[in-house]
Amino acid sequence: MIAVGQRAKAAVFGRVPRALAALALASLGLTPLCACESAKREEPKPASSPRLSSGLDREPLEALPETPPVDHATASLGRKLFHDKRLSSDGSTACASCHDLAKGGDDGLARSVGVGKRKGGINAPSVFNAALNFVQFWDGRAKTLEDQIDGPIAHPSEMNTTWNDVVAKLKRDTEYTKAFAERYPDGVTAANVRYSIAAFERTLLTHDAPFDRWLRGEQGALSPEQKEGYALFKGVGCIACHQGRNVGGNMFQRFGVLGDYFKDRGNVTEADYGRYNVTKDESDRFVFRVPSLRNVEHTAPYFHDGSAQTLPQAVQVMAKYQLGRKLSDTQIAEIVAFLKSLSGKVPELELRGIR
Amino acid sequence: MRRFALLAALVAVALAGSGLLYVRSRTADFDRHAHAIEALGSIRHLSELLSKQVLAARFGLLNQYDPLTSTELSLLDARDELGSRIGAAVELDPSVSSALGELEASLQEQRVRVERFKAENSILRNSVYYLPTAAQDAELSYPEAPASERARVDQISLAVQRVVKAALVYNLVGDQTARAAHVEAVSRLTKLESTAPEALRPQLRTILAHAAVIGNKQPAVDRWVKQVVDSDLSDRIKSVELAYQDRFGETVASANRYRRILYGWSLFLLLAVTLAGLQLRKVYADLEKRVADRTSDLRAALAELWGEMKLARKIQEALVPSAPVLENCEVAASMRPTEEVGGDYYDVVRTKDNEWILIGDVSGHGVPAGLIMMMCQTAVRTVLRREPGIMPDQLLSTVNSVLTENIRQLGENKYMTISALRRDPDGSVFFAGAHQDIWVYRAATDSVESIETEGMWLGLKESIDDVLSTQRFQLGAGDVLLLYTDGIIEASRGGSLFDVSGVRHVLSKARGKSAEQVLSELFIALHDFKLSDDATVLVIRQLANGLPSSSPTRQDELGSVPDGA
Repeated sequence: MIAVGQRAKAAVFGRVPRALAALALASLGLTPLCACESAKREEPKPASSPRLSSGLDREPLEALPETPPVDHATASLGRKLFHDKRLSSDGSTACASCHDLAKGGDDGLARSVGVGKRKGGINAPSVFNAALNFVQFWDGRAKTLEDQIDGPIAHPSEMNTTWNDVVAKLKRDTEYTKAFAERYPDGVTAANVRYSIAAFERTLLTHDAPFDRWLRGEQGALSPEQKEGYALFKGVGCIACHQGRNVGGNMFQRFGVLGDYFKDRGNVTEADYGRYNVTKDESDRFVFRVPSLRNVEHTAPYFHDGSAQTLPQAVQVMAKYQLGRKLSDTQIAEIVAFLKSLSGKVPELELRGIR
Repeated sequence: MRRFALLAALVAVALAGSGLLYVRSRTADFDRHAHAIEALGSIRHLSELLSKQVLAARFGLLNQYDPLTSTELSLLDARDELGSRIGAAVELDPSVSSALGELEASLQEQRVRVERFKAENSILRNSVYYLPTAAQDAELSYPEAPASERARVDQISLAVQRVVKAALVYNLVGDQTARAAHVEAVSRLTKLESTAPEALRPQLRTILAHAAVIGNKQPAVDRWVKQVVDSDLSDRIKSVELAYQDRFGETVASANRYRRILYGWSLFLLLAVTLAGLQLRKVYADLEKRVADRTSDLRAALAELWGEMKLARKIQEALVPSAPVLENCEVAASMRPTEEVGGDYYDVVRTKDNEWILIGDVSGHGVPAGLIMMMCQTAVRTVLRREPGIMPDQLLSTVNSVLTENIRQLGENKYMTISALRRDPDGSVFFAGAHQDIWVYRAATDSVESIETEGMWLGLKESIDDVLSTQRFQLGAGDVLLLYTDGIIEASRGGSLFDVSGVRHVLSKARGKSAEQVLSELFIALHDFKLSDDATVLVIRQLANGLPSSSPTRQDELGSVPDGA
């Protein structure tokens, strides 16, 4: 009888104490767990921060760094977009229209031509090594390559369109929708187009310029004249602004330090105000991002206004207005010879022409 | 069911409470705190590095701005990282948000200063480097001065040297004395420039231009350097740190509060479970008591039932004759039921004309079997009271019809074997009805004979007239008649039965023995055997008075007796 009674008890009330006991144990278990959690501390990783000394013994110019690891498929998609005229309102203009990779990454025009054959306000800078510039555009208004893309897309005399239109057009192309779907969970979006194109642009580093090879110790890479030109480049003061791995592109400078370039040239436009257009700070009037001189022999005409047709002219203008001196023809020829040693190879991805 | 739902709800509330408290108690995450502190350290380091790099660039220790630019960009990344790490470690409050906002503004100002410094420093650096070269170029371009101009050129040359020296010193020292010396040297050369030979003038103007650049840019550059170095960036970082630490302190305090509540809550739950356990023990105890009560009730009911059974047994015992008597006979009888109420039946009835001996067995045992046996007894006695001269087959026929009807009404699936024997005063025995064999010890021949009974069991058919017949045999002086039920011959020992052979063996030694002795010998012979069924024995010994010793029954004597004879 007693056995029967216990079974009945177990059947009727068995769940009650078990559930409550489990509950109590769980609650009690949590408490020390909390304590453990708070006791467990992860040691902050010792920061591998940059040090002052790492910058001190550098040459004023340096070879280009390695191309950063970029997803090849994404960069290929970016390349296709870069060459796609559907990114403009009337289907006439691709990124590559003004940044022709066969022409040094720009178009050889003083002022580029966009949709409806409209002339832009400024000389298109080269897309080569643009990833290494500390800011984008002549006036530095974009911080990254991704931000930069918004400029030409919306500019009335460049692509003159909106992201909504661009995305709608691309979505009609099944090849694009497929390629985007493979890489991005949200498919074709403005952000993904930007990211893809920027990924492609990050591969556009022109390695193995003769000067870079010479820096790495290949003595025969530069001619005696070019070596003389490099010495002059440093000696006459060009190096004061055109320095670093990109031979420029890492600072702003006023155009016309020791002479009034714009007064002499005349016909000042808004584009000539440079960084002032961004900051509205009077001291930024006529201040521009110092351009990189890599591949400079292929990027004529020169300056933001495309006013110098040839390299010697450009060097002469720089010497006069920036350095306050007149250079002899020999000196100019030597400097120009040096500048030509800054031309590197068109990057592999572009050469392979993956579409 | 409702009880279970209530319980589930309670458990859910308890769990949800624990879960909520647990989550709340975990808001202070020390890993994330460490990450935030690390990010603060990182941004502080970068801001200091930026100052050092600006100083290094100012004094020509840096040949290029790439390291500076890289630090600026790292600083922006570090700012983003700091924001997200602080956001992960604490919930932002106005003080942390505004400190972060001020840090952001300060950072942007610092970037502007650094950019200005870079541009101005490049110009200053260019002029500082170029000025000596320009001076040398000027002298080289005018080596052969005419004698008339010699003195003036020497004076100009000296003035150029003094400008170069004063400019370089001024660039390095930059104090009032150096500035005064620079201004004085420049103004002296400016005065001489107008009197200089025409050929020298452009070069002198270049020298003066660069000297002017140094004069202008040196204080400008140093002002930017000073502003960069003295920027409030580190104060702003400190403010963010203080605001963040306060906020984290609050978070820790709140988490600790919830942790303490969690401790209390756990204790409360433990207490609740303990109480529930105690409560359950009480419920168990009640249940046990209830089960015990019910058990005792059952026992009482059982006892009552057993009481009834005993009563039935008593009735049965009362109905069978305890000491049956027959004229000129010894009678010994025994009835041993295996259950309290058995299905065996025997009776001895004396009428004015004759005597009746009946023996039978109702199928099954227990109360129903007993009841049917009682019915049978009543029916037999009723018929015999009315018709004492009736023949056995007629008696059984009547009893059968009564019994069959009653058994149907009871809904019992029972039947009954029975033999009815009528002993007349002359020693003739008329018998009918199917039961066990009738055994007779013949004193005259000292032999044992068995007489088969025929007929039909009672209780199966409404009318059994056609299968019943009365037969007859004779009992002589000293003969012993033995009647029994199947319980006797089916008694078993090991694998073997007592069987009719056992009966025959006992009966064969009946010479000179009383009926009582034969009965007791039979039970002595049976004493190792196990009775599995009711066992009834009836032993009747014919005494000599007035009767000749009999001879064995011949088959022809067992002829049918006409009805009503």
